[in-house]
Amino acid sequence: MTELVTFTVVGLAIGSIYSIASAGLVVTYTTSGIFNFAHGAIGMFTAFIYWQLRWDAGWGGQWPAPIAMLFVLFIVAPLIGIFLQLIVMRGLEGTNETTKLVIPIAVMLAFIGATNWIWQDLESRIPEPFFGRQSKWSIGDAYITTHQTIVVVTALALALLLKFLLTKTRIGITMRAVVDNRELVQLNGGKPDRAALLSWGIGSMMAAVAGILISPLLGSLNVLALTLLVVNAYAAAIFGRLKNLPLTFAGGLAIGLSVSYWNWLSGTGRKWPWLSELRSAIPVVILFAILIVLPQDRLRGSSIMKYRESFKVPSIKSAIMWGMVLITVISAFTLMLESKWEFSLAKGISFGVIGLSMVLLTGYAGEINLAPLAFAGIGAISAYQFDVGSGVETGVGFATLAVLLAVFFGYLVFPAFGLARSRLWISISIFAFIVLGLVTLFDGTSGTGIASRESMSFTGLIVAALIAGAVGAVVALPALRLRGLYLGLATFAFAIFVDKMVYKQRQTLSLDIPFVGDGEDITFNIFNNGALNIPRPGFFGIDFRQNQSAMLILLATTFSLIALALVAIRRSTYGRQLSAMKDSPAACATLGLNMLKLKLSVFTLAAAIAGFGGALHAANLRAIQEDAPFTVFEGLALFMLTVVGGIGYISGALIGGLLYGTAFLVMGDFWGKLATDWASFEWFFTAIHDFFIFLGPAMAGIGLGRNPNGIAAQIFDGFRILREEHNKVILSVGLLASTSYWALRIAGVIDGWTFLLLFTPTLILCPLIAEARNKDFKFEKENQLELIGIEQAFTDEIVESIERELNFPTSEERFNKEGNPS
Amino acid sequence: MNQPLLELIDVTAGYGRIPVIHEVNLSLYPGDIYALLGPNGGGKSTTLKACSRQIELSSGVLHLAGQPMEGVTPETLSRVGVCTIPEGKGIFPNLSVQENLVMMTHTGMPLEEIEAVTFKRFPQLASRRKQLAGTLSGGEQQMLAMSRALGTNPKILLLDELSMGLAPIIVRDLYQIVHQIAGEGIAVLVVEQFARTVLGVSNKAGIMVNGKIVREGDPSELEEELSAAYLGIKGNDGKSES
Repeated sequence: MTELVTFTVVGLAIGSIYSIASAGLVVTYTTSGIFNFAHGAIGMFTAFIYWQLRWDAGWGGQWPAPIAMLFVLFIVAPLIGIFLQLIVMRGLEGTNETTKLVIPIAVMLAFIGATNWIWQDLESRIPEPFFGRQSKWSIGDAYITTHQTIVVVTALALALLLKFLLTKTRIGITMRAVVDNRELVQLNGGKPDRAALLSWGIGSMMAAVAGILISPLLGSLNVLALTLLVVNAYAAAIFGRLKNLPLTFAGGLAIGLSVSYWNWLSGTGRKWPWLSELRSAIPVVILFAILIVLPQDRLRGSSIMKYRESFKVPSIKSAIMWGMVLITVISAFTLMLESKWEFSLAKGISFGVIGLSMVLLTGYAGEINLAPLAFAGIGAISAYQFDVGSGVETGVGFATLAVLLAVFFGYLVFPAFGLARSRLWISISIFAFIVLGLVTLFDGTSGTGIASRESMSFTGLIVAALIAGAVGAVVALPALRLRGLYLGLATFAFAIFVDKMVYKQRQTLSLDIPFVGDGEDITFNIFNNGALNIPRPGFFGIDFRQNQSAMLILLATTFSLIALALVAIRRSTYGRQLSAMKDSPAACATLGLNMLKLKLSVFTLAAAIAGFGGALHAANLRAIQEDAPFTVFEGLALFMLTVVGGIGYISGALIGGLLYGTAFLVMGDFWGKLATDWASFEWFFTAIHDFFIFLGPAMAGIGLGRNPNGIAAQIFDGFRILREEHNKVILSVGLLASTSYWALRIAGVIDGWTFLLLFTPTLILCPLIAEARNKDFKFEKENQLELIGIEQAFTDEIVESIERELNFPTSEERFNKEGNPS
Repeated sequence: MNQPLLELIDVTAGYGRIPVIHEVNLSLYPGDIYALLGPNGGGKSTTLKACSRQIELSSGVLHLAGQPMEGVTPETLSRVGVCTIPEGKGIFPNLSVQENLVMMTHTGMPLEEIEAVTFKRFPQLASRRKQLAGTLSGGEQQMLAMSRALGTNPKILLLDELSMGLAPIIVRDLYQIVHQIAGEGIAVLVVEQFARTVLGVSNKAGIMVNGKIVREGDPSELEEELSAAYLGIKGNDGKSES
């Protein structure tokens, strides 16, 4: 009985905090239509500020609790909210759903980065609960702390206050009216902007209350843990369907109680070691479950957006050409780069490979996946287990697993690609997997079979892709009916789940295949002690273990090949179906397109690409840890930067990957080097260095994430100008200059930094000069096809230029074809 | 009576870079019911939005009671007495009837007065105070929208497609109310596709085709020319035949 009371009280306290946080989320969502991903991060940030004012012995420090509280809640938090609304969120009205997700994600990363920057030394910051740890009162034998009491009372009070504000005051009613019809609020004489400001102010106040109340329950302040805890409130907000406040509060309490009761049942996770981390994953499991059970919107065609995306589809020919250019350029770079730089470049390109999965899934098919790195992590672990980690006693053991996988693919995944008609495919796939299993077994180096290789095998990579693909299918299956924000949240929940349940899994999995072997046939040590040492690949007679250049070229080749495959897919019937599904699910449904199959297959394929890329990425890094490089926050950052790069373009994935894996680190390095070279300006250069390291990606996201076409499109436009006839001079000068820098670097005349300082401006200046010159030539604006013909009549030339833009055969080519029938 | 309450002078406006209406001139005097008619895509709603300043004018001026209105927002206009009821239902579906009325107080009228006028005119709304406006019947929703015109004492009333999706008998009732409102000296601009219903109550009419008002005059005269305009038959091109 005592325990029941104790755990109920703990659950109610935590649940109350979730309720407060989720209510804030609901307020901002209902009034602005933006799901504030940064909500958790705002709570975290304000909790740090409160700690600084209340508890730190140094700067600020030692304010009395009420004053610190009032200051944070009524000055800092509303200012953050108002600032966000004015600077960032206001521009998001009428943008597409990806943008509405990316910008708040960027803001969240900015808060995380800023907090890490400001409070970067590793002292432990322990906020005390209100009235100290000893202040408590008792019901029977159970104790309730004063802090817990304050939490529950605050939640109740805030619930009533919010209810009153939103239904009884005019400004509250206006806040709700803005969601219904912003224009009509204006016609009524209301001021939508003022209502939005108020709601963002209130939203971030609620986040601050939640952050401050929850931090003493956690022990020491931790940026990511605190952010994720408030993220748990997302489940409660979804429970209230993002609009119903009473349901949201109930949801928060339910989540708090279920976590608490689970702790009680499982003896804080000791009883069932496999599930020991479930207590921190329960809220996301609930989130996933609610999303799936919740009735969904009807299918809609996409409405017309303020900012339209227009992705051009490259031809196979140009995909091959650019792929070769990439491989050549990278190979040329390997001649001059130091191994350290090759490593960073390889990191960027392997992130690019993972980014390709997002190009397929989000760019082509319009399905949002916030867990790209969860699939990548699963791929990496699978490859590791296949090549190194697992102990296999009998070959039959593995063959059985292979057959199970084969049956899964044969019956579920392959039919989704439209291969269901013939049984042949099922048989072939089963056969292929058995062969694969046997080959790898006898291919092994020692008597134990496949395990304990010193290098990653090609089969290992294939297995990584297959298992990641299978997991992708399993995740997609329940999530098939979700779209947009809800799909994003479901995949986000999955990413957190993988964070908690896979990367923190310390158990050994033993499979005993009946009738064969003697006991444990296969053993996996899933995530050994929080780190796995991933071997570099060694296949095709090349040893990549000590050769960073070979690794880099391998990655560039992989990127080019997968990119080529994606272009081929995009240009096929299947690709057109994906694109149709993205444009208008309603139209697809009326045409009789089976969207379930389409979604399932594209999810599987994308997860497989991510898994493949993840295994290569891990191999390049040589090791993965539980907190790097495949965590949920890194996944969000990569997603955001891929959108910045241009998620509909192959090159967008490359740009996103390079930004994330390479560019910000190189920039940081650059300023760091300046800081050591010019000691007198050290503070200045160090500040810039820190800015790039901590805030670079987030700032890129906030600044550039709004253009749905990404910077890839802008770069293309820049370089397309260079290819025009009268700009040939600039192009050749640029090429000549670049090759000569390169030659000078090879010859050792200039060092790497000088090369970078010469090469980058050349790359940027050439298109700029060409564009400036172009103004004199005054050409038809080819990139705005939809405006052609509005102000003037169509001429043959214009028709031809449109055909050229759309990659259609021009009438001349058509004539040649038709004109020579023989 | 010689001063128009609302006047558009050589107004060109549209969406983005593409103009929809070209150099439109239009004057509304107190007590007028001006019916702006014409086929789909003619620019009627755009003209109305130019009057309520929901879109920017690319050239030309909007005068209210002789004063040029430059850089004003829709909310300012609505506070000085321009009541716009947009196409579709001019209500907030996720707010209750009562809360919809509260929203009308932004114009400066006290809630009691708005309620009194509304519930006197539309008694059936009184029993539905707490109901979400989106769950009302189509006619009731339009009544709720019209109660803004009744309750907030506007000087100018702009109505876009009042009859859309409603039963003819309800439309007739609504136009009776419009007629009565105009009788109090309020200038009304009505945009309609169903011309016959509105021509009965209006005292002035214009036909809009391809972004221009091609014909303006007495409703009874225009009635005959309407079908020509709708069917796109050229010939009288805005000039009177007589």
